[in-house]
Amino acid sequence: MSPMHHLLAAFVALALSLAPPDEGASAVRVEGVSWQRLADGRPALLVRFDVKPEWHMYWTNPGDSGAPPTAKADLPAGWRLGEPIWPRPRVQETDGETLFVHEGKWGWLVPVEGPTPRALPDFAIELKLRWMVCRLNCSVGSAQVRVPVAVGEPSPPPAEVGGASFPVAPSVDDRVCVEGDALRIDCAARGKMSGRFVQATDPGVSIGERNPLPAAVAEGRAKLDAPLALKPQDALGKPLAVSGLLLLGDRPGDPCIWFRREVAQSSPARPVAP
Amino acid sequence: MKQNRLISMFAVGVLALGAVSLAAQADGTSKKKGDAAQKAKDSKGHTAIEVGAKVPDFTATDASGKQVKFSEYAGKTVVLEWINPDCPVCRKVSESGLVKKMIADAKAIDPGVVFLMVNSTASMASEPKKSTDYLSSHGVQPNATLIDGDGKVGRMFGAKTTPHLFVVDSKGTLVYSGAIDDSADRGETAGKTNYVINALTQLKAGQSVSPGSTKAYGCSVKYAKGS
Repeated sequence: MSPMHHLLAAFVALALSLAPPDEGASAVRVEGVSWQRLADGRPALLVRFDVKPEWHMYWTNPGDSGAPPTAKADLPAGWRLGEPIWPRPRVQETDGETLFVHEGKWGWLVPVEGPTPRALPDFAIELKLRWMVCRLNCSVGSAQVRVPVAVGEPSPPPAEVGGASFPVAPSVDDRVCVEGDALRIDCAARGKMSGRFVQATDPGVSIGERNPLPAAVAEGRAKLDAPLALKPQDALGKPLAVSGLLLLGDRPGDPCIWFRREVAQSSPARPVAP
Repeated sequence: MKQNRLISMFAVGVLALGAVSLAAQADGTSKKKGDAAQKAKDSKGHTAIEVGAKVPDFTATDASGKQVKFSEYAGKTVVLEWINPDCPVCRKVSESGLVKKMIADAKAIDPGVVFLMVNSTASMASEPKKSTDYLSSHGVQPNATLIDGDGKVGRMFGAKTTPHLFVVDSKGTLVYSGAIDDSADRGETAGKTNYVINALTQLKAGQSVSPGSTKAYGCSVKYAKGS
């Protein structure tokens, strides 16, 4: 390579380094993806994100704006990616807007479902991730990660990543049900003195304009009794259901309980026109 | 003496009312059945039009500075889309041709359908050309581009994201509010169902619109502070 080529290469490198960057483009880094075994036996991919300070990504229900990350993969017949498992979000309420966000280092579990419940893929997976990340302005980002075949038996996922706890299912001591058109929660408070319910995105079902809803915590129990607004015509042809997280306590590592309960439908939803 | 007594009684009354209110909140029970069916309010108390309600007339300024009255479009189906050229999600749905195709498909169903693009970004109120240039660069030709710098129109409709779509039928009733389509990757690829086209198809067939609302995705509308 001639000295002129060296000079040109150096000039290009300098020009690139001086070009104003899209700050959002570098606000999220995928730290790694690893195989885990969920409590129900399904294998899952734990995606570890690292979000720059002051930036945030979004929970499954982002709140008033935003959009949650998505995962896609081209899998052989009989395999699919399951519904992701989301860690506890932070509830951000500013300027009349409520958002449910993930910040800093956080983990996202994406089940991989095969022909049998415990089946582990014997093929590598090209995981395609997309996300929206915001500070004052927003950016969309993506990454493609090649996940090799699991070596050995995957371990259970950690209870938390970056301090944000993964949810647990209701225990035998917890009561979560839909009675008529009301959501009724009566759960063990697990030593915490506060609680609130954050609804996920449930087409056709709403707990009203206020999300999250506070729960009353007394005598070791967190209770909530919330009427549901039902609009079967908005359910996109799916069964009506209410889902979300009961956040106990106020810290990111405090327990949270995830549940989904179907709502009895009195009239069938009309299918959407093609 | 009498005045002091009255003041004391008033103070006791206020305290009692406050205690009752606190007690009601503390039990965490949303007792009013109508709570879930109240008018849509954001956390600042703005009351937005709900799906199924009539859209009141309003006046807005278009990008050329002309006053536009919503009632000018009486008797026509109107589609409103909230935009922000600085929002990457908004840009994605425009760059992919999704909005241009939506307008073309909509006019094939209803040649008289009106498209209004609305920019409620406070900081862009003084740069209307930014909105029109953004739209024309993507082949999007609405009937009007409304510059809503004070956020009045946005707040009235309850626009929360860019993009956020609303469909008003020819009788002036809001029949749809939400996302542009059911794209699972937020506009990277077109979804299977465009909810605006779905609404127009159903209106033409004399059916009620279903779904009437979906969750809009995108950047927050950058309203003026305190609006």
